[in-house]
Amino acid sequence: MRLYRAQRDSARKPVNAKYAILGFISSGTYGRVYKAMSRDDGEGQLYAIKKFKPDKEGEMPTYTGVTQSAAREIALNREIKHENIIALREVMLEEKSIYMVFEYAEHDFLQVIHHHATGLIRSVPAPVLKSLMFQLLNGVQYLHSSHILHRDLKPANILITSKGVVKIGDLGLARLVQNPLQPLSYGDKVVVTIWYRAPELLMGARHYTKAIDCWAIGCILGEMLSLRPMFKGEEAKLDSKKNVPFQRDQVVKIVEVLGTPDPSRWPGLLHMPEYQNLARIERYKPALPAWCRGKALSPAGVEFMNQLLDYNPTTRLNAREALQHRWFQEDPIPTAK
Amino acid sequence: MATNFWESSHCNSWILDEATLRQARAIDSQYADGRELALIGIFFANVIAKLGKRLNLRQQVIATATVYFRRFYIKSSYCETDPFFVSAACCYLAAKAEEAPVYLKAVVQESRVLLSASGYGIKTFPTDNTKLAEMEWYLLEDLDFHLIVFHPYRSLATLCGKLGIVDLAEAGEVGAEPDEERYWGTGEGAMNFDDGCVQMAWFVINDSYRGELCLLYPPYLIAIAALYLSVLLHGNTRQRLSESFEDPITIRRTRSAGPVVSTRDRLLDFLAGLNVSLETISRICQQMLSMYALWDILTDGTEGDDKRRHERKLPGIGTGLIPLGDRRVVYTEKAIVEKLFQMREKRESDLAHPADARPPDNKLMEKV
Repeated sequence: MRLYRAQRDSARKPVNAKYAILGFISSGTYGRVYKAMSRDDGEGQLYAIKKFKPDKEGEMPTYTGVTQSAAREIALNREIKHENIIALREVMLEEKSIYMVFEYAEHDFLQVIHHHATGLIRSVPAPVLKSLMFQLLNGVQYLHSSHILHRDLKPANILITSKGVVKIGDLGLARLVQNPLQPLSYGDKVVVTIWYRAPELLMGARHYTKAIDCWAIGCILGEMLSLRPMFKGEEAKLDSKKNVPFQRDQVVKIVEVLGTPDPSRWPGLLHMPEYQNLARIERYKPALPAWCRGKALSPAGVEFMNQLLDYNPTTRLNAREALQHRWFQEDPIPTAK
Repeated sequence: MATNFWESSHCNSWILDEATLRQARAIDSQYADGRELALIGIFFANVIAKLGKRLNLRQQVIATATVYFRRFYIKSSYCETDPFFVSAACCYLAAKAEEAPVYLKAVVQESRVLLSASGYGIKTFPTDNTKLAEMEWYLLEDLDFHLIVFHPYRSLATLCGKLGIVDLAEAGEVGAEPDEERYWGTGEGAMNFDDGCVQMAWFVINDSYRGELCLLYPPYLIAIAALYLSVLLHGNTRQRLSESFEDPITIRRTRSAGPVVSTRDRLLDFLAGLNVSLETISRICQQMLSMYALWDILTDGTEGDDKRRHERKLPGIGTGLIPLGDRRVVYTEKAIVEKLFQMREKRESDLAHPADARPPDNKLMEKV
């Protein structure tokens, strides 16, 4: 293998030779993201380079096998292509780290929220909001029609280019769901950031569907309207045996707005593992219209949100239906970009 | 799209032609003849299947690992690498890509146990886990980071309208919703085949990975060819078919009610309705048959394997429908292992003493 290794090693181009690192963008459990400029093309195109761990300072890096998350992100990104999904330009391997080179997007939904929460204009203008939501749904619809669940939709993962094109990023938790070899709940005990986690997940359902992404979109819409997380619950941590606890606080935050779920409208509820825990929570009446009061949302918009935040995953609006919702057809219509 | 074959990396980058495959073996063919190289391919598909069984991998994962292995050797030569080591890395990566991961440690352990056994006698498999993890990287690179592979199994299920029997039954109870869009075709032309016949087609597909078909043809064509072979070879189905060939009219007469369509007509309608080149299908079948003939001369060298070699084959083999290979020349697995070592040694010595030897590179001198 020595000869083979030598040949391959010499063919590898260092990341620094191809890209100039301009700065640090963000970091997470997976590693870090850097802003970089290409040295190849004359125009100095910008890219976001995601560097996966191992990056432990002071320790000698060793090969430990590509993480499941990196493998997913690579596998899926190499296959998909859509205007509203961030595109992968190339993957590079160097110094026992994986570098994924993505197209660069200047902003993200979280920035838009912060900008309006602190700036002069205290709400996202309706045509812009609709445009952003439409593009987000468009990307999600593409993923879903490709049988991919994103499983981590949240404002920080939804990017916007300087031209206003929405780009869904971070497929590190995403996976194909067409005839999986193992049930989805085997691999990852917890999916979706707590504030955006769908009720069926919170209720401990072992089966879940594309509808979990649509719930997250409903939460994101709420956040864009109120400029703060719609259901900002405290996450209960895994216990010492890594059991997933009942996320009581998160559930309370949801039922305060949407009311206590009604088993007649969500028949599966009675069989959910956490049903007894839910039953112990104080009862609330549905109050979404009241929550929406004072926010720039038409009656059609309230209906739209209500359908995305349907407790019952089988009747919840799916991405395709959402794109055809009358909220997008009434004035003001979404801006072009 | 990750589930649309026509837009996949598999369709657009990894359906190759015969010339490319020949080119890929250019260096190896200096040290082994065509038959030996084909046997090496069968041999490693067997190694991967055995390792996969030890690791409790599903058939689909084993299939993906085998495709990785074959793709890897489009860019490299057997004699310049360690194909045993590559096989292990393929299993490790395929399990991850198919969302059924196994521990690196387990792959190293199981590989060592399997390969050190008497049939192979390989004692050099690295104990260091990081070595295999490093190999995974080279593998990723040589696969061009294309990890999603399409297999004929699902096409088979769609063709037979037996998604329930074949596909999901293997997958067990799963958390996926029934999908509104189909993976392939509209399901309209699906034909009802005998369960045993479909089962046999499934086995033929398993066997197809022992040849180069997965690099040459899209999975749906392989599925059709597998089904076609099974229709011819499956006892009941064949009988019904040949009866209808002999006298379609009697069959029509014996049934009283309604217009009766004979098995033959239904099969012909079915094949014609698929709208694929039947010439290509027959070419795939030919390649399958020659692979079986070749596989037949490979033995693990143990007593009783002669009998087993028959059993693992299609029932049609040796009956005139499929000619047997020249069974006087039999290759044991041990012989293949030895051949591989020989190839590597010769290659190393050729590289050390090239025929067109030039004076040593004096770049080093310049630096000084």
